[in-house]
Amino acid sequence: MINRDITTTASNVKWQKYFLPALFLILLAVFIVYPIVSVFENSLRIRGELGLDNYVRMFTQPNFFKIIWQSSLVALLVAAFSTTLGLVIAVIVLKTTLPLRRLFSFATIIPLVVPGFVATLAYIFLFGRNGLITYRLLGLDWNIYNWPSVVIVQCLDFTAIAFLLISAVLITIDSQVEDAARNLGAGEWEVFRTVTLPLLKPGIIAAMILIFMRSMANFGTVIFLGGPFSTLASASYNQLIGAYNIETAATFNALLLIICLIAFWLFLRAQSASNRIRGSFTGATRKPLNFSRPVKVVMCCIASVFAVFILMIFISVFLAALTRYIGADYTFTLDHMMRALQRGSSGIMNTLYFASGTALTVSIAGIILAYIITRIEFRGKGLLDSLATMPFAIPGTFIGVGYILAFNQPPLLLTGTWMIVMAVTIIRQVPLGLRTGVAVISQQDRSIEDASSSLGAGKLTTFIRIVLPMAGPAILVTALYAFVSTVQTLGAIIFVITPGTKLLSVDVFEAVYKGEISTAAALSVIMLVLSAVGMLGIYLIQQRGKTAKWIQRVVLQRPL
Amino acid sequence: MDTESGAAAPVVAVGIRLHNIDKSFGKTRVLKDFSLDVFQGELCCLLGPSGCGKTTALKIIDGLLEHEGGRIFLGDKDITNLPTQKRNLGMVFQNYALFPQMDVFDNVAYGLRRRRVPNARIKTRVHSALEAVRLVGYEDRRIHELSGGQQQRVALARALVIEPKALLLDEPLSNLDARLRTDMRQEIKRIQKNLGITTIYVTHDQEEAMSIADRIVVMNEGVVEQIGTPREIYENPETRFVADFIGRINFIPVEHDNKNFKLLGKEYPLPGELVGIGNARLICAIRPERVQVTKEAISRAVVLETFYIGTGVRYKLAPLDYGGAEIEAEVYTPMIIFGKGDEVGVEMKSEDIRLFPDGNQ
Repeated sequence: MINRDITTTASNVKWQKYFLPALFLILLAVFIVYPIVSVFENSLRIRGELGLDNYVRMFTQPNFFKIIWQSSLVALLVAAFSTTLGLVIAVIVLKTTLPLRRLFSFATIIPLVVPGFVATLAYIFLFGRNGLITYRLLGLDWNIYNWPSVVIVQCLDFTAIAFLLISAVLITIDSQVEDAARNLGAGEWEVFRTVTLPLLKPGIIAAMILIFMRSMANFGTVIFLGGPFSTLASASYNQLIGAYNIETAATFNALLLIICLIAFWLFLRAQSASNRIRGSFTGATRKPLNFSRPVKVVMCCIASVFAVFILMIFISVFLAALTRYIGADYTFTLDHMMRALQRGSSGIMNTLYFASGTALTVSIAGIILAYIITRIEFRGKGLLDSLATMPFAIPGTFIGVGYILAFNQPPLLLTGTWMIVMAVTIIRQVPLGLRTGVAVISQQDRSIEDASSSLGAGKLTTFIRIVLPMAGPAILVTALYAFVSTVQTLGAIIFVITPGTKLLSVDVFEAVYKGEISTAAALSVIMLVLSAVGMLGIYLIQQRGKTAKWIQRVVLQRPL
Repeated sequence: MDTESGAAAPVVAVGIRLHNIDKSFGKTRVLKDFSLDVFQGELCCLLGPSGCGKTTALKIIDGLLEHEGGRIFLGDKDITNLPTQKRNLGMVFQNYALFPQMDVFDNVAYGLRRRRVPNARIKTRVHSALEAVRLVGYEDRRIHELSGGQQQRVALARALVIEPKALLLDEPLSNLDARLRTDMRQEIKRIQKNLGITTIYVTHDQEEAMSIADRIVVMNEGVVEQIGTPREIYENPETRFVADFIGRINFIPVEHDNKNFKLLGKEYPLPGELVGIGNARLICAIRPERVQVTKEAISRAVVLETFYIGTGVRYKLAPLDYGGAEIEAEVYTPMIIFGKGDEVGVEMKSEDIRLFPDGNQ
């Protein structure tokens, strides 16, 4: 793919060449490999003794297979539903001229700025026992704390992923292929069924796997809505936070990681399959599919129900934050907001510090790492690449447990410091920085860099004067998205924070946990505003053209 | 596949008729009252610079683009309001538009399956279509495993297997390298003649059009400039655009007195239709190979540059009694090759000269 026959100049001394790769390898070994090893090591210990007892116990526990079965069932259902929804909406938005399609796409990507546990909160006050719709409007008294609720809320959250992944494939499909099918006698539905849909298959599969992974790793929704129902992720959270049984937690997490890594491997395969089919098209033109009326109606209904649901949830968060008591007293008030600003002030500041620090580090480290991996030849390159990509597939609970175990003793005693929080937020975003960096650099014309070096510039000068400026917009988008993503992150953070390093997302989580609906909503609004600022930045950069395609790539790199 | 062979009389039936087609993209009118008759069984090339509307016309015939006014006939049947699916035309797309997720067999069989042809029939028909394009044995290949030329053949087989009423080819060879292009050109011509299928072939490559077409339609900015056989188009361009677009040509402004015109110091009679044209300005067009370069001729010129072009020599000449202009001449099998600075004689025969009104082109 990339022309590698450039002759390296004699001035390229060996130690210079190996210094940076080695540095990154060491850092990744400490912050990724070491925690993973710690988890597995602990899963093999019981009260300090080495052995397989934890696994034996886990497998012989009557609940165990139920948990596995429940986790997979929920994950599979969520993957199936979300992908179907994402597909329908992507087709409406990109392949029809139906009205409201902008609204649909807007609604679908709202969850990118509304974290799952906020959606959970809104879901409870809309449909809960005292819910706005179920109780006030319909007078129902039912129990929402069960697995179908978990499935519904996760679907709301993850459909955006399917939508983005499938859209990304859909826009590369050349309409001439569909025209060819029409020309050969296929009706519009047949064109979709026999040509468009098969071409979307890799994207659909990739979306299903990715959503399966996300659902597997998700514990917030399950804890809040599952009631007695539990999954691997929620069980490991409860083992750690509730029972403080770190060895069992480690065992659950080890299993979870293995499942996620397998899924991730399948995901990568699906992605490369999709690239193979796509490869041949350039400058594809898009032409709407002229579906028959019933098909349009059905698709529109599905999308409308979904969009209304999401918009309701989105609006109700604001409603809860800005009225006296949602469901009872709708007088406008800023009390909750003021209280949230006071109570959450340290969380807000911490979030700003950590998110900015992470954004800066990840965007710069990402582009350097990407440059090393795409442009420099050295042994261990593949290892560096996979290590830096790996956090993408590691569930948040695993990282949390891993960091607790790995950094609670000298020489790396980090537990309780801000550094461990920072390390977690950074390591979670490294794949994002790397992937976007690689995408940018491998699309840059290598010969421009060669021209620079043949004019006498060293590798460093070339990097600073040529590579960086060309990658500019993409780096900025990466930084902003890392910021947004860190603002919302909860998974791993919740295990390593202390009262001094509390983040806004944790405040929200705790408020939801305690049932303080209005405060939680007000804190969420603050969090949404912070995310929205970042998203607005991304949007503005996107408007300048060129960078539009990075957005999707970036957004999909969200950690589990 | 069936051909219309019953007719004994050499009356040419119309295969495809376009009548006053109008098409705009936004404010740009791409086709302006575009009319065209393509005869049954002929290979007709739409030739023109990019943006002249040739591909648009083809897509309108196939029903892939909607048009604003005019009618389309297939034989004597009006297909204007028929959707693409029901037109039964075979189309080969510029980038082939093969279905990347299917193998060769499924690509070719696609149209037959849409027509609910029984499986056994599909097999034999796909086989004979692949035979026609010489691709038997490639049934199980994936599209991305094929070379450009092979993909081209699959696209052709896929279009032909449905026994279409006519074949539409949209720049079918533009993605192939030069050598393959000449081979495929002959291949397409051979298949087209064997089947006797009415064919419209869109190209911007004049050499391709010249070598393959029964008739060429030269288009410019949405209108037909000239329709004729390759020879007519080359030797008797009807408009200045055609003269300029096809091949190399010299344009030299000339003076005239309504009876005769003067070119490089020599008088020629004005052709009949131009006598009494008034004081309109005229420009003469002459092909470089029709400009004769000798030692003795009366009109003198200086050789500015000499290019050796393999089949002969091309000169860039500056006529002595003609301020500043340059003309190009090509001499095949030259006896002597003149060098830069040599003084030579130039001669043009009146039958080789075309005259056009000198607009501001």
